[in-house]
Amino acid sequence: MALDPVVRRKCEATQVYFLDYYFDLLSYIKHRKGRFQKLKDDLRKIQVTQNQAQLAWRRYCADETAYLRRRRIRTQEKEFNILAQIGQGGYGQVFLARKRDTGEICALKKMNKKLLQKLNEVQHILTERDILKASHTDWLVKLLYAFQDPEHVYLAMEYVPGGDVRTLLNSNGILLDKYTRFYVAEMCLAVVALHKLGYIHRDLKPENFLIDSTGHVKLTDFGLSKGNLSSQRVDALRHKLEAVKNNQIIYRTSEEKRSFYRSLKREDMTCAFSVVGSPDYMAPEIITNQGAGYDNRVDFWSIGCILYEFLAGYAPFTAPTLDEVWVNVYHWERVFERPKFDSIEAEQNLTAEAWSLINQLITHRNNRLSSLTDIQNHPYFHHFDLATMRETDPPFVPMLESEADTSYFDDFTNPDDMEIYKDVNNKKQQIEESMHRAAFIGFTFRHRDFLPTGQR
Amino acid sequence: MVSFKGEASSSTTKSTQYQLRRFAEATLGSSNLRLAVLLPEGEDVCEWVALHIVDFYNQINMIYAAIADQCTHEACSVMSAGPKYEYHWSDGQQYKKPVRVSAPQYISLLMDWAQKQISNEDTFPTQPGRPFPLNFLTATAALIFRRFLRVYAHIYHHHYTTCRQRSLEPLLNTAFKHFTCFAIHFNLIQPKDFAPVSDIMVSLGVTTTS
Repeated sequence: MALDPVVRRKCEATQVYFLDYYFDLLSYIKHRKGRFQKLKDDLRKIQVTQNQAQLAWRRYCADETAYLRRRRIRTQEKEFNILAQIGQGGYGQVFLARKRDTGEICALKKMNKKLLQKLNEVQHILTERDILKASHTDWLVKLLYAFQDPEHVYLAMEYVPGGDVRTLLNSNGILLDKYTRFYVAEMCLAVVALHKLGYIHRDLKPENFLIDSTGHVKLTDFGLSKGNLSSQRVDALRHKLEAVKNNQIIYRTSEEKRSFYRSLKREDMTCAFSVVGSPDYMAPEIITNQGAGYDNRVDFWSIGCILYEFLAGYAPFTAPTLDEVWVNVYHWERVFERPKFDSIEAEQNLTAEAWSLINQLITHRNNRLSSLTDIQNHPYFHHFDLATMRETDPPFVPMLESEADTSYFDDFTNPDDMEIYKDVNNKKQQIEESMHRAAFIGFTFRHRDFLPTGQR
Repeated sequence: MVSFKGEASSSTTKSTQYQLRRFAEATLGSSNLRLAVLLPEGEDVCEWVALHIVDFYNQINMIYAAIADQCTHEACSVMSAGPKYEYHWSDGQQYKKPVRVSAPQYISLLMDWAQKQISNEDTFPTQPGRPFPLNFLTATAALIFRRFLRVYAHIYHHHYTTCRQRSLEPLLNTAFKHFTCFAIHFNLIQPKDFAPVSDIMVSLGVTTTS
């Protein structure tokens, strides 16, 4: 009999926990014996007075005890100095924080347990934790700590200071072609890194691609990755689509799309509360392929849509209402068209190679480019060696005051900036429900860097 | 759960990760555990016991979470260890007199109670130089160990099949062996309290006679 996926996950988490625990414990004991032996040898080698020997011995004992005490301390919110708020989502906030004892700068994601349960997102958060924990690649954001208290779960992640790729767009909402090539190539590499870990993202958006302090791309927010798109969510997506798919397609000019697209973007954030977000970048087969399934090719569709947006100034299936976006994605073959521009510069910025690549990404999945080889072989990336992208100089490197600089994020001390989050906050307050304590078991995590000197 | 310990380092490469795994796999179930419980040279026994209480708390939490779907109010309406032993919950505060509760309730109350003890700076000091209370070993630690043992007793008597089906058996045996070796070595559980699990301890080689 097949195990329920939730139970299976808990069993796997327990296995991993024990293996890691005993590896840790046995190496600790071995290293501690080594440190003890070294102290004895040192004291024998150098001539010391009895007083000095006693002092050295006492210091050794105090260090060892201090380490054991540190191991017992739970990671808690109060161990972090909150420096600034850098994000606001459906389930909580993201802060820039410094861990008091280690001085590490991190993005601290604080999520309300009741809301997560109410919205059926527990599994997503656990998956995000698992992916972050397993990631040893520069293309994915790293997890430093995961911990919880009775009301919240916390993910302390590597802080990526450059903002998301949308901050790169110029005042016309367009990215120059020479930059687009670089960022799209890196986005493909980041997505492939996620696929290598066995996950499909399925809900890629420009916001998921961050610029790190060196100017390279990192993928974040894996909450929706494969294995955890709950059946409720899939059903909700399908119902949504059933309800609107026969609606008339409304034709909009590029100019219209561009203008309302810019005003729309921010209001979308409140959609984080509905089960169904915006399908702007979502591959149609996720919702139309009932039973037939889908695979990691869906993420290349999303990259195609983001590439389109970089060069057109709006996403290919955008519309003033969500219902209309659904209709457009459903009838993508009829809606999809080359964007029109009001300036020659913008027109020329969309090169033949770029348009060819877009057409090979926003297409039926059997024709879609879907591997690094496919991508590398496309003329658009002719001048790049995808294998060494991280060693190349990026077109833009964030100018940072310090490692804790937040200038590339929204300003949460500014009441105008906060206004857009008002609905999010209101809805959050409305939802209140009791929760089950076992749901978050296995969540807690601490990265290994914190072993004492000589033990790493 | 209480956090503690590091897992795989972010910088570890795939091959060392693999070696690490193999090493840990090989140690599970081996006799290294007997040596692992010994007090390291120069360490205060209270520190060593306190650390292990946190470890054992986490281990029990992980194992129980993996089988909790089978330990329901209906299936386990009383907290028992076979037909002969039944445990009633009392914490001297909210539950002044021992009450009969279902196993999941009992274990939930027990783990919450233990977590409260562990996070209490008076009973489990973490600040530098702050001493453990004088009765830490005889009162606090002994009570926690005795109660933790009941969770193992319940799992062995009522959920062992589930553990086997889910390949958790080696983990359960290792965790239990480690726990009992530690408790015996530091005299934290009275011999009579081992009665419900004495056969298991003999078959795991922790003790020679029951």
